[in-house]
Amino acid sequence: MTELRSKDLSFSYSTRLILNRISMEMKAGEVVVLLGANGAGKTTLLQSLCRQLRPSAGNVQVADRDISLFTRRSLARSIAFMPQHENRQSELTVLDVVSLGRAPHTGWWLPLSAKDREVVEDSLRATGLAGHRERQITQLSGGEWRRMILARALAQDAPILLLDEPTAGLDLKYQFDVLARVRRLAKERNWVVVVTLHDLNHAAMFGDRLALLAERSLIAMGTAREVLTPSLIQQAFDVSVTVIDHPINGTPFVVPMYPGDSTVATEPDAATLSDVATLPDVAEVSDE
Amino acid sequence: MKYPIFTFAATIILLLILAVTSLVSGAVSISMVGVLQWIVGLESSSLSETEKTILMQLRLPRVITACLVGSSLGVAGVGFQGLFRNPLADPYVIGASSGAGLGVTLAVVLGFQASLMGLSGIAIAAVAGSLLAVAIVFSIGSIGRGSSALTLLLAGVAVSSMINAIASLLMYLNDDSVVVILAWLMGSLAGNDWGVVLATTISTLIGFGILWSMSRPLDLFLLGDVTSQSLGLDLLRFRILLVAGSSIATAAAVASAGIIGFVGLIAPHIARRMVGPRHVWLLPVSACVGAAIMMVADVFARTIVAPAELPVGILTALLGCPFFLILLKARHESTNG
Repeated sequence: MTELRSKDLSFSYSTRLILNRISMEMKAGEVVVLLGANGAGKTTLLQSLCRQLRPSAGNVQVADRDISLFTRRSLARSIAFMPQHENRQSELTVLDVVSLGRAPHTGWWLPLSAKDREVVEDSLRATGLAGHRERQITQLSGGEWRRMILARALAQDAPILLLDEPTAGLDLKYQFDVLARVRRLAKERNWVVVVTLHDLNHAAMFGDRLALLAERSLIAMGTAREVLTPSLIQQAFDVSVTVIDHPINGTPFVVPMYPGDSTVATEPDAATLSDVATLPDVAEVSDE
Repeated sequence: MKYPIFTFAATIILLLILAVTSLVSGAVSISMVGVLQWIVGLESSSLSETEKTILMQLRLPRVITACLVGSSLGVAGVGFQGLFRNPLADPYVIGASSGAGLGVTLAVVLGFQASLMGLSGIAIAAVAGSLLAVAIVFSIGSIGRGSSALTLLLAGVAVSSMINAIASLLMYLNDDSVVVILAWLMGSLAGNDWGVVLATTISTLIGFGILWSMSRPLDLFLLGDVTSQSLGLDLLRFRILLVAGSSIATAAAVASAGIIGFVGLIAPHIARRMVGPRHVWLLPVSACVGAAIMMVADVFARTIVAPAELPVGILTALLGCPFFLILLKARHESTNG
């Protein structure tokens, strides 16, 4: 069953075309990673998918219903959107902010029910923030802040989750941490997850399917092996790469060929491989 | 901050104490014991008939009006600071004061005579002017797809400047009316009777009710347009309701006291330090803080040069500013170790 679909979706700022006739379908339980160079329109596409922006042509459908027909609140019960930035200059606490994730369900007046509070507590635990609930959001580190925004999106409990660069500015541990949590949620709760990422190798490991944007269009959509090819990457990012297999989990692994660096393109020798093999398994990290 | 209800209860008690203090002070001093007996309805009250008349006809309506004006400004301040996510916003930020100024100027210059529920023609013109100015600013500021709080703020500045220029021109051409107009614009609580109290009570309650019912959207709105929208807030409807509620509250204050500066700016800041940023508590506490500031300012206005009196709008700024600066300094020290 298709949960989220865009049909010939175009978007332009006044006369400048940003997205040109993007058609894509995303199913329940799958993680789709949006890739593309800076300015390729990833954020614009994500925001059009949740009606933050109104498309200039085409439409977006949730379970076969055009999202322009939803009220804001009913849309918020279907789609949660995690923005890249938001205003952090308020004295609200972590608990206040995560509780606001329940707003689409409780309405604007009623206090949170016992069930709402339970969902909020679950979301705090799932993101490792249970011990931080009384802290003011101005005091959070970048990583804690992103986890809080993720916790709020979880509390929103919408079957479609759109994440705009959830790993930006995080160190490697939290990048894996966030992506693994998101992937597990998609599988456990059968959610559609669409996420924009910059790291092609993370995309290969965590995405069920990858969508590649370039020249205002969707130039490829499919498995990592179908999308992460040297020619498509050259077309989208204007860099030369070699794609090898990840030594442990076998997913495609993109190795950039820096200009003048001839060593990168060579086959890895046995010694290098055995070093890599001692690293912890990705699946292990993700289950932490 | 853990139990805001206690803070709220404490501010209510403070208000009651201030109200009694306010009732006994003035050109004629009345005994505190007598007033307390009179309030609880004891027959044996030691007050003379004259004192009772002063209390009933002059001081009580005045104290209640001060309370209402202060609380509506405190509430409107929270509303506009929320709308602009800017701590510098006050109830007059999108043209309410300049609109009122032009309304008053026109009423005085044209000799507009009317009255409604005890409100004078000048007060009615002030309210009409202030609501009209806000409506103009809002309709200009909300035009177009990219309408934002910033557009609204800039429209407010531009329209206010134009309205002020028209009012100044009218005053320049009618210099004999300037004193009357200025006296009104400086703000005063004198001469309000029970009719004004009723009108002010109604509009204060409506303004407060609209804003308080939007407590959670106001919390959400702090996080930005995109986030509010993605959590289900209809931004246009929210802004219309917020501006309507805040402007009705402002109009309540303008009608019964003219332009009172500073209360609407500082009451929300003080309240935020007392109960934190959540609007469900911030709004009622800011209302109480505003009311307290107005009552204190009014007592000074009536007693410093008694039996004459000073415009209360001057005193709110004179008294409020040092207090506010101390608060800012304390905050600065607490955030910088």
